Amino acid sequence: MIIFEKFELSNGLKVIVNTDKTTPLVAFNLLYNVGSRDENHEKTGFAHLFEHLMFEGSTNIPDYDTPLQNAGGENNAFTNTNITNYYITIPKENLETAFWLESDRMNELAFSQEKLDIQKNVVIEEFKQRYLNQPYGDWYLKIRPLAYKKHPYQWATIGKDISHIENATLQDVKDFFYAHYAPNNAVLSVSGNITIEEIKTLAEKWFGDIPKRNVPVRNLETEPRQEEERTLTTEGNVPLNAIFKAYHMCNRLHPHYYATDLISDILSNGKSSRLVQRLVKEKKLFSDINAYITGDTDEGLFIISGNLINGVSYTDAEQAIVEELEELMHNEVSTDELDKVINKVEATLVYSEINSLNRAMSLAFFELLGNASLINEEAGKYRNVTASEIKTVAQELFRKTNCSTLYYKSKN
Amino acid sequence: MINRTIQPEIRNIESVNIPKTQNINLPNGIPLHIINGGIHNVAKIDLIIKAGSIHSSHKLEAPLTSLMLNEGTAKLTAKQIAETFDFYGAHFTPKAEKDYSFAGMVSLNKHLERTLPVFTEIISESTFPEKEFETLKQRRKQNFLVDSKKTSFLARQEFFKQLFGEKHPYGKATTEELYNTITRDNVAAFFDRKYHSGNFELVVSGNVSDKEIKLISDSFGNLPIMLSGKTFTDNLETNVGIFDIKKDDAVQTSIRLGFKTINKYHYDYTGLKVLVTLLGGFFGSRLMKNIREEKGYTYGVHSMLVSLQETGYIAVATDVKSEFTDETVNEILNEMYRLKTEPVSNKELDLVKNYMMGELLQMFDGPFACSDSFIASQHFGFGFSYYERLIDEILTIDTAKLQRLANNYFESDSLVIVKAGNFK
Repeated sequence: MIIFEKFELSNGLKVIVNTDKTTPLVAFNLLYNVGSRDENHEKTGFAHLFEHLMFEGSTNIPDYDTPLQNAGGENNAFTNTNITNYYITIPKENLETAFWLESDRMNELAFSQEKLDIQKNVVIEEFKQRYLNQPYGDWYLKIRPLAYKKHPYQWATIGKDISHIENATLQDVKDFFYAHYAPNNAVLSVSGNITIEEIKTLAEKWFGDIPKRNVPVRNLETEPRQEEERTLTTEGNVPLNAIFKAYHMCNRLHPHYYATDLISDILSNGKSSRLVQRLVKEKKLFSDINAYITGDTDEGLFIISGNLINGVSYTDAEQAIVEELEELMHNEVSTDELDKVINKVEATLVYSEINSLNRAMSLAFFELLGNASLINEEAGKYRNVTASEIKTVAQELFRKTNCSTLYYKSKN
Repeated sequence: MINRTIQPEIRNIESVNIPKTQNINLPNGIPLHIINGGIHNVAKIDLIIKAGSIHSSHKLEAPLTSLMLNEGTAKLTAKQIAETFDFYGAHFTPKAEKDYSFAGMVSLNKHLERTLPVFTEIISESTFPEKEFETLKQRRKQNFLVDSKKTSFLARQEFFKQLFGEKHPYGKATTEELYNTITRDNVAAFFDRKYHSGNFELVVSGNVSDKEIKLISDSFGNLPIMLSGKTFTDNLETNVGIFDIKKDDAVQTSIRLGFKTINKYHYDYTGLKVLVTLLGGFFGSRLMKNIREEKGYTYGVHSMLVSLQETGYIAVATDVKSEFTDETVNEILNEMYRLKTEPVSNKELDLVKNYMMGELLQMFDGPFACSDSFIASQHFGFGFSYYERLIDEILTIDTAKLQRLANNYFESDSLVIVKAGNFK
């Protein structure tokens, strides 16, 4: 149970406060309701490129990092398909510096061509380091457009192509800022040895005079139901054949989300899970296999990815996966197995509450989803999943025509 | 209107609240350190084992022993072990490093009575079933083949090989051949020689009461009494020079550059830590500013000072745009050279000091962070006292000392430089 309070400034900024008297540090998390799904399909990778620019100085503060490091603070950020999230941990005594820095860059960035050019290069190197210079590194870039034909989840957060980043102009960057970076499009969540009064005062002082902005209403194309099996074969300089299967799943707020997540746990969370026990250890078809959900806000993907053992055919490997999925569609899981995955989720939720930064991040994310208090309902929702619901969900999820498969073949 | 150009007043961090550990010797001699704290009813149990690769004759003995621990005991099959940990939501994490191996478990206190017996059993009575061993070996070999396609992996292996020499366990590279020669019996014998009370040290952290401590003491305290043995290793032999690994399809070059230096036993180590942090240990460091933020050659560049039992080393690691490979190496060397010839400004030193003090607050934030910090220093027998010395160093070090340290320890004639990728 995470106890918190919340309030909203007149400009629409939502603020959540969680008190933890055991830590000398404060976690300060600012979430913007913008991700790569909000990008134009000809200008992808923008939300993430923009995240880099947020560290290049704002109107009144030319250098973001130095004052924070001087205050003993640390920070980072991430962008995904749904959100852009900035976070700081800072000694309690110096908390006001976090408010000062974050409010100034919400107010206005110091845009410059030179900084844009450098960060374009940095992001291009990030693109190469993470996706191109790694064996199988680009599988995610390949499977998304196979699975999504309409919804912007069809491109990865890093972007469709390096050229989109190369072509970004200063005007694009400015437009993006004013469209998405606004108090009424953000959630601030603070956790530490603090009081609600302190945070109210600081929030009002630093964020209170930032004007509300016109944030375009999100109106994304919905992905039509997939009615045909899709496959793509690609070859690369990789040592082994690999397979990636993606199934469309429900959105984050759908009641079936919890059963879907548990299905991925039954299949591959932990050494006792079905895919690890049966396909890795007993049948020796895969050296590694995983099932997981993307956890996206809109309708996401349920992904199964595996590296085949040298000499195993794609037919045998894929057949074995399909048999496991069919078993979930035809037979209910036992009470023991269901208890196991639910216990495991419960323990993981407790472990994740220990860290104040995790708490601050989760509170902000659930507030974005609708209400921060949802976080305290998670364990109960998992607990309520039944064996028959798992079977029903599996039947819809693992339809043959709901699947996109990528065969990543070894050239050698 | 508020003046947004002025930073709110900041206070320098002058102390870090380091908890006291409670130290006990179990009846069989195993040292137990308890770090009590936190509000969540979760216990973290870490076993430090004198069984790193330095103690082995075959490079894969230590890592495969570690990964085989939960693959079967006299009483339990691999599946039963996995079922128990998963059912009670416990995380078991084995790992092998150069000097030590570790086995860790995080468990809800309420399930400790179920999870602890399994944990104790696998670290004392593993049987290494042949079938499970063959499957694991096959998987690891395949993972190794995947790693071998990464320039970062190739550069790192070559770096250690040249820095420490191939004869020494620190420098020996992993090869496919090693996977073909290791047997189940090698690993079982290594386990028998090394996994026993004489080589164990325990750290327990979390919101633990006498009840949990008693459970833990009882189960580990009953292991038979054994004495630690001695290990003899070859001398470290560095091959100074530049080593190129060509990989035609690479789109970046991985650079690893460094040299051997002092380790945690030396009185200059803490000062050197400050110097290496300033060079490339954080976002505002010289290397990050120069190579990422000014030039845009890379997504990241880092320097590190690492302490091992028999030596220490300083390394700089980065993956860069292929055409700027040599420029990057030169810039790294320039930045090191500048620290020898030009004194650091007080302003820059203050920045590093404040950053490092903030980092220390993080390292002691909560019982689990404290436990990780404790373990990292307990390898050298220092426990928390190392951090007290480090804090003292950070608060008192001046620019003259930094320059002296740069001149004493940044030795340009013992450099190992490795480049892996498709560069000219």
